[in-house]
Amino acid sequence: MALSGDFIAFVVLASAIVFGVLTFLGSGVIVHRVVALALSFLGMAGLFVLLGAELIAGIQVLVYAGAVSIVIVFALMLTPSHTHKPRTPTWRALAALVGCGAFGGIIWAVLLERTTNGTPTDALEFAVRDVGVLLFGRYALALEIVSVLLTVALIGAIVIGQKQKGGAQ
Amino acid sequence: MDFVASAWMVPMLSLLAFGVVIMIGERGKAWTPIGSTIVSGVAAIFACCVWVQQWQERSSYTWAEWRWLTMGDWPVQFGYEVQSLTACMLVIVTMIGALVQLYALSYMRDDGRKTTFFAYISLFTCSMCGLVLSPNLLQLFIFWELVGLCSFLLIGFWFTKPAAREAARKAFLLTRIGDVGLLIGLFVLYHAMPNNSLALIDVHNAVQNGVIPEHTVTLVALLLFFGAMGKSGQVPLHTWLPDAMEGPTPISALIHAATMVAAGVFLVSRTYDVFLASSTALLIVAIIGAVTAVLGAVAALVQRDLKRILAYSTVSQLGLMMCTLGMGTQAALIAALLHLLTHACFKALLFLAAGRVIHTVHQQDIEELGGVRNVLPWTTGAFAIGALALAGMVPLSGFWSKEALFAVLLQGGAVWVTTALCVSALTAMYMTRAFVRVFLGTLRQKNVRASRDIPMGVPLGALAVGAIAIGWPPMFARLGAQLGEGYPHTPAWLVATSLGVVVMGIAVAAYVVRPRVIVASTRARQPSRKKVVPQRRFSGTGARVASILRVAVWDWVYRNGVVRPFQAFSRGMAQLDQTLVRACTEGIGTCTVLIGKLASRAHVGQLHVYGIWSLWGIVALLCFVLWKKV
Amino acid sequence: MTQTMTAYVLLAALLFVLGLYGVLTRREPIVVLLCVEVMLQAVALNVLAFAKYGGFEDVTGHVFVLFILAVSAAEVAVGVAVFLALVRQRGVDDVVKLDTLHAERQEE
Repeated sequence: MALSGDFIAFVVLASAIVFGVLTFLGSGVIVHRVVALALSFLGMAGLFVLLGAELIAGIQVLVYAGAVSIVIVFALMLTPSHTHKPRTPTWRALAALVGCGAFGGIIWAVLLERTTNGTPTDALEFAVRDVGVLLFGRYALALEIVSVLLTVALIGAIVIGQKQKGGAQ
Repeated sequence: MDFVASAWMVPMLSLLAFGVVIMIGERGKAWTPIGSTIVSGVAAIFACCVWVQQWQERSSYTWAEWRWLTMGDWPVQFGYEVQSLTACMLVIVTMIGALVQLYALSYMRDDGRKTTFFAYISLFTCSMCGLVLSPNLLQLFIFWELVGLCSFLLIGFWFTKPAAREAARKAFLLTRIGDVGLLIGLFVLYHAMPNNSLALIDVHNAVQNGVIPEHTVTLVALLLFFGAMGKSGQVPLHTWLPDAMEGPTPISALIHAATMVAAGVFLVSRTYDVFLASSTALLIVAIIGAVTAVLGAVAALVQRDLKRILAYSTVSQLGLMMCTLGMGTQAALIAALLHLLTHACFKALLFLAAGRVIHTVHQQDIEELGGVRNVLPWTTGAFAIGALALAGMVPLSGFWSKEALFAVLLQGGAVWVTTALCVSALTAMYMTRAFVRVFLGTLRQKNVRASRDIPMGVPLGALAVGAIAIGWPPMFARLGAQLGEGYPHTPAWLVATSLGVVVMGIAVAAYVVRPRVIVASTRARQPSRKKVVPQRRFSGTGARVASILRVAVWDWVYRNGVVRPFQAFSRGMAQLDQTLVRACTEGIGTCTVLIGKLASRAHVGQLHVYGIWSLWGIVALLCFVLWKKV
Repeated sequence: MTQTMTAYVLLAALLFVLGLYGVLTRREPIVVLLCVEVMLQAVALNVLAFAKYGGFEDVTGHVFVLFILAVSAAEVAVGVAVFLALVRQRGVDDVVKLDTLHAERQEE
């Protein structure tokens, strides 16, 4: 791979993402973990930019790095103390680790062998417009369904999350 | 009214009686036995109408339309068939059934389970009629088993008596051995028949056309005969019949003298074509019949129990019929059937008379009996008629049928007719002995009073009349003609010889067995010392020789030859079962439990564990897919 | 260029497996939820990489990533609500203790 600017940016962003996820998985303090994850979401947004998806990168920043992280932090703050949980039993963690390793190994091997591609599509200058056309053209129905889903999810979240009378123990 | 075509009414009436009586139960014990008797009387009259019509029109009627089930292409069809033989059998079965029920009204008057008894008799009559009317062998087999069941139930009717229980069990098992042979025979026949039909008419045609190979015919004939041996008490399966006398005497008369034991002879007659096609089978039938006839007669000579004498006599007479059937001619068939009919009549008479004696005196050991003549004169007369008919005395029915037998056996060979004459002489001897011991001499029991008993008297009278009337020559000849062509004629010298033999037998027995007269004064002082000497002479060495033939000996042979080894084998198998099979089954059980425990351990109810399992599943699937691709 | 594509795809696979591992091992409900988000992100990255290097001049991949984002946002909303309800009503903040399907524990 040529040592281009794109590549350097990719390496940096990828390192940031992986670091963020690892910190998220490994750290002790819950707030630290959420912040680390927000970092990796931001890095992901950067990768999206590299892939020519500026619109999605923006939404990523808004939704993930912004809204999701904030919601999580709020949720944590609204609940009682978050003591450190003991680890899951070793054999279980080991089984998960080995399973994930095997799964990842298989995917990795298949990808290394199978990934073929053509030239990069650079003619995406008007990607935002094209996305809009597709979204409100061919995928209009899907868009409507997703909007209904979002509405339902929000109402459901409110219903589930509200304090129930006499329900609290 | 077309009686022949509605012959199905006869078993149905009995079935109806059975159903009603058994359902009402003990509540109706005042009137259900009478009702049952009346119904069986109606059935008997109906059967007589069928018989008369069949005689007049010489018609046979077959209806086998009711399809019970279909196995592959083979429909199992039930129905009924009326022809000369079945019509005669129908009359005999229902007549004796009705008379025995009438008799039992008095005989079983004080029994607590009277209604059950009558229900069983009705069921038996129904089954026996069904057996007689069966148009195919499968239906016949079903009813064959049903009569066996009724026999079992009725032998063991007084099941509180251990002897009765044992006898019932023994009868069931020994006839079962024969039944298994019969069933295998049916399987073989089913396999060998061109269109897998078991209808008697098809069997007849197939054997006549020679479709079935020779050795198969022999096998089938022998297996059918094996079944007949079990039911008809042929050596060596005869030991159940004497023991069956533990049942109530009316049952002995109906089932174990007149009808069910004759089913074996009936079966051989219905499938006579199969036997005719195999000379080997015929010879074996003749030999076993002859052996049974001689052994039965000899054994009857040394019995002390009145009913057992009659039972052995039945065995002997059935052997005679089988031996005749073994001659393999059309005349043999007719002669055997004629003897079957007359024998049913007079043997039932003898049993009912014996039952009357036992019922009155409460004693059936002939050494303890004597002088019953004074108490029961009419019964004595009836017994005498029966005994003379059994011995073959002119002009009673037994004489005519035995003459027919002798004629056939003479055609078969001198050996057979000599054997039959010996049996005839022995018959005369043992019947004389029984008669003299029981009815002549002095009565030993005190306070014996015989009241006039109409329910018992009427059947005795009717059967005595029957035993005489069937022997009325024109009647007998027409009966023979109804059964088929070729009624045998006996040469005059043979008639004379046989009569001479009978008279000689009676004379010898009468000389040897003196009536036991006890002077009143002696009896008062020393009742036990007055033993009669001639009896000793008769039953000394002869009895010792003959005891080889007794039931006990056969029981010993069966016990040590069959039962003990089989028990040992069973114990071995039980051990095997306890150890090996049990270990296997319990191992399977334990494995199942272990697997279940493991599986339930897997269901911890936790997301992580389920997730890990799913992940491993996916990995395995991926590996599988990739491996298949490579 | 091929190697660029491969690098993206491999990174996506790594993220997916990390998220999976987190789902299978972490005990805090919030963390499990966020691990699912990480897995979704990996998928989105994959789709975008294919959109760019797949050889088609098309932005359908972008549309689908939009949908993925919308659905995952909805999921987070409901998930957080469920988490709050769990903590408030049952006082449970541990996935391992969520085993009411297990009969023996239910009896306790």
